[in-house]
Amino acid sequence: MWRKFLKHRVAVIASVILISLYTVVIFANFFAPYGMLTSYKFHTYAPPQVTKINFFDKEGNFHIRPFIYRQVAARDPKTLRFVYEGDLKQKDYIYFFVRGEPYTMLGFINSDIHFFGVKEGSLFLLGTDIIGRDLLSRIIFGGRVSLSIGLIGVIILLIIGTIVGTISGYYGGWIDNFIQRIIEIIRTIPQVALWMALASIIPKEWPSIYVYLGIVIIFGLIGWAGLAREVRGKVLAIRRSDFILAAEVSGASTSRIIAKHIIPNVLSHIIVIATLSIPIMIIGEAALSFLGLGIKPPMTSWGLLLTQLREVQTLKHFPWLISPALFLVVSVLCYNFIGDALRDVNDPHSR
Amino acid sequence: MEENNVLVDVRDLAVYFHIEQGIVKAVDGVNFKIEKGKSLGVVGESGCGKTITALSLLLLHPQPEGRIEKGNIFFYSDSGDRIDIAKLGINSKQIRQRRGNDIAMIFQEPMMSLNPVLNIGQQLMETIRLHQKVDKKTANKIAVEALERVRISAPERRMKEYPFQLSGGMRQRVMIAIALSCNPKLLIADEPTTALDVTIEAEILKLITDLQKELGMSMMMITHDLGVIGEMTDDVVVMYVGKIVEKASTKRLFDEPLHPYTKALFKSRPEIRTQGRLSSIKGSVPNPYMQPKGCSFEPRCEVAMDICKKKAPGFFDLGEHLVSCWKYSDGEGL
Repeated sequence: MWRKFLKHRVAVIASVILISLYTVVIFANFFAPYGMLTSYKFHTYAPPQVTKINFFDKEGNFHIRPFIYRQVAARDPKTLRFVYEGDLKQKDYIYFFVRGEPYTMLGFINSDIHFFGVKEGSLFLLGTDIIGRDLLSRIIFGGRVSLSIGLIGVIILLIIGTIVGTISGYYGGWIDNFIQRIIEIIRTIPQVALWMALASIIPKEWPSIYVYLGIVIIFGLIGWAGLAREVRGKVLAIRRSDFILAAEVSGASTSRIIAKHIIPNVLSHIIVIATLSIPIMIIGEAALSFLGLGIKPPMTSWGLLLTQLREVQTLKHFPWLISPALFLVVSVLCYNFIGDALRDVNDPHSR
Repeated sequence: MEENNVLVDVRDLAVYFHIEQGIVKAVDGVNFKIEKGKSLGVVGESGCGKTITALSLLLLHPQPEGRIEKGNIFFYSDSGDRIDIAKLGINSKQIRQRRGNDIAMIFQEPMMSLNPVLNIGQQLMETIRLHQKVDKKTANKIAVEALERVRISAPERRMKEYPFQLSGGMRQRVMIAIALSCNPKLLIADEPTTALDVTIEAEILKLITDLQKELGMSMMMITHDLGVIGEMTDDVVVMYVGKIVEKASTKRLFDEPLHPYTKALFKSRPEIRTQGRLSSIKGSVPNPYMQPKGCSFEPRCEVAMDICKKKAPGFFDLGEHLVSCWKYSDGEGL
């Protein structure tokens, strides 16, 4: 099974990317050069510096340690906007494991060491937003919400979908009929509309962590229908197979048959569906947050970061603010690639 | 037949299927006994209710559409107590203790009757640990012994293998090992060799016969192969659309089949000297929703009489040889 998965090169690359993304967001305080809410008021809407990293100075001398010229702000006399230029006299070297803002990570690690940064001056690799907050840091912190919402939502979805689907397929009869009709009702309502309707129930005055949990629960409560239907189909097929009869002949109880014989046989399907459900939830959260129904400040997510672009003028003047979308696309694509590969691995007809 | 020699006594058993199109009488008033240490053969065409009869002994007939309508299934335990399986709850603890422990079953398709995601050892040990209060180590030992008993080489290694790694004959051996792991009193073999090729078939049948003698258990052999019946069983019942049409000792039946259906079955067997086309029974099994009023074999019977259309025949005893056909009535029951 693993060997077969490893043959899907794209999926392997996708897994590596996802694992790195999750590592970065779990240890966000360490990997982000700045805090999520730290703002630099003399660096509002600063452009990305990722393209301005130098190894050669203006005299053409090579430096083994990369550096940037210190960013200084000046007013454009006509538009009165800040314009940024590199001060060629000030070289700020970029260090790994540099001391910066103190933080408490995961509730118990107190430190001030960041993965990379500059000792003096400032480093905004992906630019800053309207009040001068480092966009890269905010993307890393926002990733916590965006990437975890899919995982937690999928756990809720898995539990409900597997239980309901197994009951439906195993017992059959009117129970099956009843559950299938409910699933049909849920599935006839457009998903995004249902998300929005339910998200709007969440009280506006709730703290953002509750809103986050509320959204996770909404995704879990809506998404199970498809999984339940697939599980039901598989259980129905396995239920009538000889090895279940053989287990019954051996005197195994119903609960034992379900847990030991049926669930392990549908597990591979469940995993595939779960993997393919995660990106739907990630997109869903982004959509809700973009529409203002999702995550609220001071928390942030990739969808919420994109709300800055609701006016097209902003995108025209500050195009780097679109970069959260790039992370969104990459992670969703990665999940889809992995899901497709898992589907191939589980399909007995594929070679 | 002495009462204390009987292990299973089925009396007037009827299993009906209640489905949308109507009621199907899958098993309709069946009587038979299985004696201790003896084997009973059940012969009949596909769909005549052989398997349903066997499954109902374990209360595992297809549910919820299938129901035991009437009749008794008496099972005699060692102490001489008699329990009526037909009266037990369908998933009750009492019946689950019988399953696997007292009555075991092997199936037609060894490919399908092992769980593909569990290894052989896990499946063997499951049955053992359900019925015997032993720890994992002892269960493992019993499982290895069970595999040795069915003559599987390198049993310790096989324990860790998965069903897909085994051949068809090997899997049927494993199924037999599972079935016999708790020393059941009755083994139901539902066409155990139909899916296997001829050489393997002979091996498996020999294995089953040997083990039956070794363990002194009773057997119920379901098949449509008269050759298997002739070799393996002491008594035979012939079933046709849910009813028993003839019942005799194997020797009597092979010497002198009486019922026209049984005769036709014998005629349609290939033999070495058979020349030209094999004879077949004309027509097919009647529509289960509209069974004829009289004898159910009448539409296909070559020697049918007027009475056969009007009234279903009862059993006529010709000296330890029961047959349900008007030809043998001698005016009785008309």
